Amino acid sequence: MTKRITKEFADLQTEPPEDMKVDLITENDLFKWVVTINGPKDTPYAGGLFLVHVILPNEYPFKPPVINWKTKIYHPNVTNDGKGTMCLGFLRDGEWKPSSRMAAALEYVRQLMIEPVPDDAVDPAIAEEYKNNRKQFFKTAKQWTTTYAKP
Amino acid sequence: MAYTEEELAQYERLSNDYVPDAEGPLVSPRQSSQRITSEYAQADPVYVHKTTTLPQQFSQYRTVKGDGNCGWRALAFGYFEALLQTADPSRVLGEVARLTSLNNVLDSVGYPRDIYEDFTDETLQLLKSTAATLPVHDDGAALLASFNDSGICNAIIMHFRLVTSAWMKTHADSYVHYTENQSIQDYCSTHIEPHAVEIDNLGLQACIDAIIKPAGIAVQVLYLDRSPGEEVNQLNWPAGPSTLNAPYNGLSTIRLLYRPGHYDILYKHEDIDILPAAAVTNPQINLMSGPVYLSSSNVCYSQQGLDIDNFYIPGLMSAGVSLAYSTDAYISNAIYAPSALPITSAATDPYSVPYSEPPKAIVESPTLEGPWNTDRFRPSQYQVEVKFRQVMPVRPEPCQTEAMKQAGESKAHFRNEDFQPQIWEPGAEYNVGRNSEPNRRRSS
Repeated sequence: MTKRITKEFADLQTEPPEDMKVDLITENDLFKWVVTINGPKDTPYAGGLFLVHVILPNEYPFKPPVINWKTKIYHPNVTNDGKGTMCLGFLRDGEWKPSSRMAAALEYVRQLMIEPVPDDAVDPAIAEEYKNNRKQFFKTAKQWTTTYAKP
Repeated sequence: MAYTEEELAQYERLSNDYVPDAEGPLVSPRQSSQRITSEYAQADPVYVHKTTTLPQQFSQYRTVKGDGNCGWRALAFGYFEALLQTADPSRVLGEVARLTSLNNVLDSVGYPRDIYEDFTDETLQLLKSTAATLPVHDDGAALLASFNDSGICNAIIMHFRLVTSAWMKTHADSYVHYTENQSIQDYCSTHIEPHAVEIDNLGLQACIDAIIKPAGIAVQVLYLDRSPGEEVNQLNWPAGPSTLNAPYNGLSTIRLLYRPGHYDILYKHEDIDILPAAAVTNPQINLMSGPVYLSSSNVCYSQQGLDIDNFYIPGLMSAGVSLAYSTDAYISNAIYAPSALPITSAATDPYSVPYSEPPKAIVESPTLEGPWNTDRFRPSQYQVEVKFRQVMPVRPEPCQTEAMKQAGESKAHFRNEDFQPQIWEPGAEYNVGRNSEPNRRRSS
């Protein structure tokens, strides 16, 4: 399936998803991508620059890509354990469709920055805050953006 | 002991991400179904009863890896194996044409071609390579190898999933009442399209409707569950009329053993016997009434050192095969496969006769790309016969067809203990002399 990955990567070069830029981590490894995301506007992440590693498993497209946030982000769906794992919705093994493109996966990631899914959170404290104290959530998330996601 | 919210979340995550390690090959070789009986020997009496009677009906089975794709994999493997059993390359190539045309359905529901072609290509490739060796085949060894290559196997499964999904979306009326208030779109998105989501009854039905039934293949599912009874319950899906115009008696049946959450493939004894010489399915042979010289359906033509590259004989693929069983009613099911052998070596064959156009084939091979369509050579009917006599094996295996079974009861059959060749007496048959009486046959 290297052919498919090559094509998907090329397509993402010519037509990158909004606010994103896709590169290879090392030049000759097609399975490891680094995605640079400009925090979407009207979110607490606006103005920040986020690095995300996207690892395509050997079984791709039969297994989903693995998303790891390299830039610390205050988000209920990203683990705050140094790995920055984001694994929910159709990025999950049992829900991933081999017919889905990476462009859709990346678009989903961006969508989660705009609208987190607190009911499927990995960090229950942040999810709780997002649901019940949106103002405080915004404040902390913004703070983290300026501290950790400096362009 | 109290857990913090973080700990609970951590456990929940672990539990969500837990994937049981499924054991064994993706598809196993055939093995005795007595193994199922011994597996359940210590279980609930209902299971003990049911698994005890199972091997009487179904002598062998294949295990399929229980990784969330087993039902799909069992169906897909069964589909290929059933096509192999027909030993008819034009039928297999007909499936290449039909599945290719189903791409239109994939297009119509909006799957991007460049994505699905990676999946469909593997199916079509395997069909073509299967057709290329027929009517000689290896009893599924090549299929087994392909299905144990996870890249090929996953792609074929994904192809089946996508066709099934597209079929459901384009035939929504037939399925929408069974999705438990989900829209067909949502049902397909959560139950059919994701990899490693097990097939359910609705998915099974739709996959049969879209792929299996139109191929002229029947499906039988045996449910090994806790319901009362001595035998496993079964559900049958008859084969649809084949899309090819050749007659097909629906002999090929995919038999699946269902245990809650898991599918394996079952075989009746006769399923396996029939594998090497499926030409018996041709009605002309079933009507055979002439003397029977050959009784084996298990001629081992695979051990004759075939050069497979030289064996792709285009004429044989279409005209040749039907010719083999249409020219002569004496040709039993065992014949046509070995008779196919010498055709390849026609150049050096002392028995070969000059090339002549074979009679019109019963089955027209669909027009397709590939080496099998370049008509380099066609066998002649005479050649088939000459060589057929050369390779006539007489082997002690039991007869297969009804006609052959009964043949042994006649004294005129060489198998009969009191074998007595019939001597034709013209005088008894006709009034040739003045003293002959028509009814005095064989009395002297």
